[in-house]
Amino acid sequence: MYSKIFLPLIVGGILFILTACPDIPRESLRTFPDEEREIYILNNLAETVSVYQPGTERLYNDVFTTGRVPNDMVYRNGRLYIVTSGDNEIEIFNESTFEKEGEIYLGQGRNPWMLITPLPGNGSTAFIPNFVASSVSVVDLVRRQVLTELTNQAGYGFNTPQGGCLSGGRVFICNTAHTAGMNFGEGNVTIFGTSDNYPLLQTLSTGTNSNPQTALAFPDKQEVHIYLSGSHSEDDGEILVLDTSGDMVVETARLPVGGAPSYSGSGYDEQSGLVFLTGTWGLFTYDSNNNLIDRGSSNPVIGLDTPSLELYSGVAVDIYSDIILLADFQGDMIRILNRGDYSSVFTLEGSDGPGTPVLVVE
Amino acid sequence: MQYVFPLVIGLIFSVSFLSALSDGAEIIIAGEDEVIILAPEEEGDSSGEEGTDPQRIIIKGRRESGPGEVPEQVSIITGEEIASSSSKDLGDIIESVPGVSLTRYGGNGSPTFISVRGSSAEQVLVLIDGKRINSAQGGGVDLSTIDPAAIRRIEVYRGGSSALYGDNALGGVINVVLEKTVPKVFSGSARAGLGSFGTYYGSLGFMGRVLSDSLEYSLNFNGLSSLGNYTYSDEHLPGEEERDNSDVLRGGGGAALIWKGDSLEIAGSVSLYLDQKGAPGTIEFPSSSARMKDRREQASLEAVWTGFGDFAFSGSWIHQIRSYSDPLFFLGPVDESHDNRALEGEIRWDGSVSDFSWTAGWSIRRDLLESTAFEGAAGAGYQGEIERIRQSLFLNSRIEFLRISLFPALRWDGWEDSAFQDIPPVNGSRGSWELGFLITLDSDERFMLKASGGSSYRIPSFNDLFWPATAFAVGNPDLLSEEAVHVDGGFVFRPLSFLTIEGAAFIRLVENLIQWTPGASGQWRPSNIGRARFIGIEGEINGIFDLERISSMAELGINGSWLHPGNITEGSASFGKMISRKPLWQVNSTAVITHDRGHSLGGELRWVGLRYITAQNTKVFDPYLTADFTASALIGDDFKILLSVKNLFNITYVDLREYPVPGIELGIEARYVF
Repeated sequence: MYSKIFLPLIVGGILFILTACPDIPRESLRTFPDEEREIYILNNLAETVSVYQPGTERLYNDVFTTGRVPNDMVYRNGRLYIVTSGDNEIEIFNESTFEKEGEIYLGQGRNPWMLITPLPGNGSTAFIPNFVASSVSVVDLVRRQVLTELTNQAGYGFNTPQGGCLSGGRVFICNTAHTAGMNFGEGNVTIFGTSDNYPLLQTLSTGTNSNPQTALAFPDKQEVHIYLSGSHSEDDGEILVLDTSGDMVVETARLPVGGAPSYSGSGYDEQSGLVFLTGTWGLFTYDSNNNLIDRGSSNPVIGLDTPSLELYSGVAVDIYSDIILLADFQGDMIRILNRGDYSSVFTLEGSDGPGTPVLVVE
Repeated sequence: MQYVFPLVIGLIFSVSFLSALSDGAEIIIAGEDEVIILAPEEEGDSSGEEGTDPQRIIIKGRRESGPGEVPEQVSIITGEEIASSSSKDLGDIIESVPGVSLTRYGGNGSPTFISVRGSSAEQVLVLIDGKRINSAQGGGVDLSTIDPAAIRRIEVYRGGSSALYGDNALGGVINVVLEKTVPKVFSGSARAGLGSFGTYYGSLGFMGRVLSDSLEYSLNFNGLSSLGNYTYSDEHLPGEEERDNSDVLRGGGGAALIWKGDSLEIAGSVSLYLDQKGAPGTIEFPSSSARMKDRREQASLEAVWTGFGDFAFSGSWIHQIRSYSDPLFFLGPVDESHDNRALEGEIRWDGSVSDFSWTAGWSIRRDLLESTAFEGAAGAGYQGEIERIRQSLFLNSRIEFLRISLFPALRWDGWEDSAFQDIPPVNGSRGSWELGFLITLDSDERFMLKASGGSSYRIPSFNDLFWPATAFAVGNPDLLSEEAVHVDGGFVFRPLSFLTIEGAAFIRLVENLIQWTPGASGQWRPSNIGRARFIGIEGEINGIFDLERISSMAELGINGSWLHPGNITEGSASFGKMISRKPLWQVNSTAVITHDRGHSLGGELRWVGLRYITAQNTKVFDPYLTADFTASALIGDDFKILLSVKNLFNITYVDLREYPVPGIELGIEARYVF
């Protein structure tokens, strides 16, 4: 008897709630407490971002989605800037709420690879090497617009550029000289100024099959280090040391680190001066204070058995938590290592294709 | 889910409306089989010769087809259904079959690939008159290269059946049966049409009998030209963009001769297909310079001697070339060509004793691939010949007792790949089995149960094994064959003479699933890392009504499928996720009203459900609903005008990321039968 009365009421009530209630606006996509130190991990294949909190030792996978084929991520002034190579744009996310705040569209056919940003307090102009278009887009991160695009019509000589860095009013762009085959052409570094018309200053050859992919600036030392990844998965990686103290940039050393190294994420240990490099041969490190190889392909921090199939795709050093976070692209794993002796602390199941890890300290 | 409701409501409304119109009229149509006999081209065939009952003996030596004839789940698309549609390629015709989904790269003439029950395109075997079109190179069969002209019927087998067909028959089998029945001493048909996107097309066919009806011949030609360019919208681009470099020009033809003696029949056929088309690239990375060319030549000869059963000796040859060029490719000019040649011979014996019938035989096939790939840009490529020779022994049979039919089948395939560059020759062999049941529960054959189980496999293609090492991809010569076992069960129920209800459920487990994944340095490479479990349910209701008040017949149908394509690759981040790009739900509904004078009005709604984009299931393609309509008017006895609207709602959708499919498409077509 009662069920005949209450059942329609309950069903009707549920239907009313489902249909009549207005959507409750969500203020944040973040579903877990914010921590002072967090490492954001860009998942290239899942097209998402995961968050590891050293304080809680917890990994939150796929906390928000990105655009197509995300390739690089940079943290700056409370925002995460994500380069989506498939969408030809820079996406801007609020780091606290994960809300997407906007994007900077670079145009069809560009294939942006990495985002080169100035140090905090040095303006908001950023540079993006475009791999397919062989150009560099210049954007204003605050105004969120493209300022200009530097192309080869103006004589820059870009050739499938991937990474680079900013140092002392100069932009260093790594040209890989990709071919459709397994070999590379003559790689080089294009150096241009950051003044209004971005004048071409210099082009430095890195050699055939050198494959310069990434770079890191050391302003205090007035050096820029270019990471030569070499032929596909061959054991021929090098670190090219450039002296930037004079008007002309000059090569001062080549460190034979071996493997196929590149710099991705937050792999600089500012306390020890060690730089951690990842690639298909494992995790390497060298001392940037004296430019000496610490652990190269002959004695990697962690090696990989089959360089043609496996890849460590990024590393982040957290000196406060005394850990190194290593992204295992093929194994879909996040490895946490002890910063002191590189011993394994634990391994976490990551998302699909984890890549660039970025340490954010608030 | 918002589209399911209108689909169901639409169907209920249509059924109600047509039931009212029928006014209790005597139902004269008794199911799918009889509908085919109404086809105009078969009306005049009262000779009782082969072909009068198109539900039977389609692929000689294989099983009889038709839902009530075989234990597998099969859908039949009749010549009449093809003729009443405005389809321009095979994909258009079969996309409404339950369990089938297509991946289109664009509009008319764009590459179109099929998935059956969540399979890959390479796991679907495509046959034309029983002859394999899938090349050893792999990549699946591009359905846009098969013109509907001269197709008599299409059989879509859902589920694995390597015990009957061998390699590739892991997800399903599509058999395209070309027109061979010759109803008159001389007859023919012509078709010409034009439509949106600057599309013009036409076909012409003749057939007849000579030499006291002992020699039958047929000849057909077809062609299509389309500028192809269409507009689309994308979230990143302001306003609408023009999809350039989408043109296609294609043409082909075929000829067949059949000589019929008292105990010997010899049939021969040749065909040619040519096309060239633009390859417009993706939305974000468009190409104005990339071009593709296809060429397919086929020839076959078969002799059947009737003595103790039928002994058949057949040979076939197929030559397929696909070329791709892009002089402005960003890493340098590309000019690649893949030349596939295959020669096949078969000896077969079809016999029967009492309630036991069988087909046994032996076949041999040689596939040869000669390719150049990226030769201009990097000097890398196949640069040589790769050969695969395979032999097969097969036996399948049908045993009937009481109302139960048993269908056991066994097959052995052995193959050898030649040495290639520094890779030594590779041998392999595989045994396949299948056991099916068909149980008729009543004497009127109103209710049938069917079930089958078996194994199936796919040999790694040349692309999988030997793709040359480039910056973007590399093959893997150590790959193992994909292997699967499947079980499915279903029913055919005809509660009323005008109504047919079919249902099926299946499960398929795939081991050694070959997946191309990006690896170190972004280079894609195939590996046997995958295990997958596909579970699904399919249902179909078809009804035919006599609308006496308006002197018409109405055919209504609705079908739907649910799929759970689970990735069960342990240790991967995608474990437990759904395999990407497979629609989890699909619903199709059709309604065709045909007036006694030959005029007709038809509509089709197609709802494609959620599809995951990433292996991690973090992104989805939204469901979409499309509607197509066709109206035709018969003028006199032989001339017909047909108007069509495709994608009436002008829906923007994609089957594949970054490849938009055109919106609304209008067409007008004239047909003449003589």
